[in-house]
Amino acid sequence: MSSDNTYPIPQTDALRQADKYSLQELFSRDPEALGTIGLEQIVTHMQDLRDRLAATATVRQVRVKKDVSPRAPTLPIIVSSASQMGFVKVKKD
Amino acid sequence: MDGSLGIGFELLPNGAFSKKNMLLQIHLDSSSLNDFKICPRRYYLSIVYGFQPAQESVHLTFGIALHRAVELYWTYRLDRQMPHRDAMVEVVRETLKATWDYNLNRPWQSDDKAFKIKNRYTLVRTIVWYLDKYQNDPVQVVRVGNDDRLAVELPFRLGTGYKSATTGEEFVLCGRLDRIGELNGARYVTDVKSTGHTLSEYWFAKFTPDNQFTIYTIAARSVFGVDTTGILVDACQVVQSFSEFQRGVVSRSDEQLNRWHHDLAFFLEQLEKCAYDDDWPQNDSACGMYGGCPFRQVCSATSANSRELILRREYKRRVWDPTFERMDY
Repeated sequence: MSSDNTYPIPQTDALRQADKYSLQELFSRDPEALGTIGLEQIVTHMQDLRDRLAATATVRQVRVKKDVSPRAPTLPIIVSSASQMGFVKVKKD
Repeated sequence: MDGSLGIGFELLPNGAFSKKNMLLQIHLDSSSLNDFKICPRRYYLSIVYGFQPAQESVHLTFGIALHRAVELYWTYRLDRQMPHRDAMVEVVRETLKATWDYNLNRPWQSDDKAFKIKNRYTLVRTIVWYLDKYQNDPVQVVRVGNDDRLAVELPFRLGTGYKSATTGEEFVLCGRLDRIGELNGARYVTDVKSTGHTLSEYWFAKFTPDNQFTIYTIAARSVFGVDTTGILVDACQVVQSFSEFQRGVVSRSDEQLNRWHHDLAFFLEQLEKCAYDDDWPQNDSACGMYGGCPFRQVCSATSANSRELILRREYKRRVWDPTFERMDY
């Protein structure tokens, strides 16, 4: 197989076929004429959407982790005691 | 202005109303009763004369379609023994049909700003996610009646024990239960609600007290003989980018149910008086409640002529007959 065939350029028919089954097109089509394949595509799209959202939510949790790289500015703090007001007294070196 | 509209609209024939007095509703569902409790004038316009804003309620359309989808799904699964995926695909098909405007040959559309959130796309998304989540629902549908049928889609009519003083007819409560199921040894009526609000215990708390769920609990006990303490609510939070689900129990004690039934007599007496006198006072403390009364502009009109003009221009009519089909969501 030549390298030219590895990523074939979509033919006009292929593009038309892909467009035919786009979600927007499926939703705008008369449901009486919508076949089971189209319905299956809608269901699969919704399930994919849910899974991708769930994955994104996980990534977000990772992103909000505190930056603990050595280059982050640090202030040496030693907790000596806590006042009754809830403040923390600190002692600087 | 007197208590009636005093303008030239005819009453539409409605099987829920007395034949002896066409203004007196004998068969009441939770929506009818709710409207009357909020404001007799509102009830008069929406139920007796059947006016509703010409622009449909997106929330109502969405709620009806969601309810219907869940009902259909369980019918396919339990009655026809269809696998989950097949049942879901069929439900999506029926939902797309139900939200297709066959007159204009286009999908359901609305100018309502709520349509940005509750639309055809988010409806199908909510249904697919909901059915996936509850496909192996631990709630087991019980069997009811002499024919031992599955307790899904249960229409009911229930005599209140109160009779009209003017016609002698007994007032009847009616409606339809989605499902009666058993979970962890307890039995519940199940119901599905959609909302844009965050789901929390505060959201579920709004159903106690609540007219609709009290009637459902009484119906499950009295009509179907199911010893239930309340409603299992599947709440669906629908926002633009996602849908989320939470299940909660809304309970009713015997004391609460008895008190509600006692109080019902008061409202039925009021209803009968309004119908007998054809006099429907405004409750002007309720105009701003529940997102604003849909008839506020009618009640704000300064003359009968302008009221009639507004009703003809901004509203359409339909027959609200709870004996005919499911109307309350």
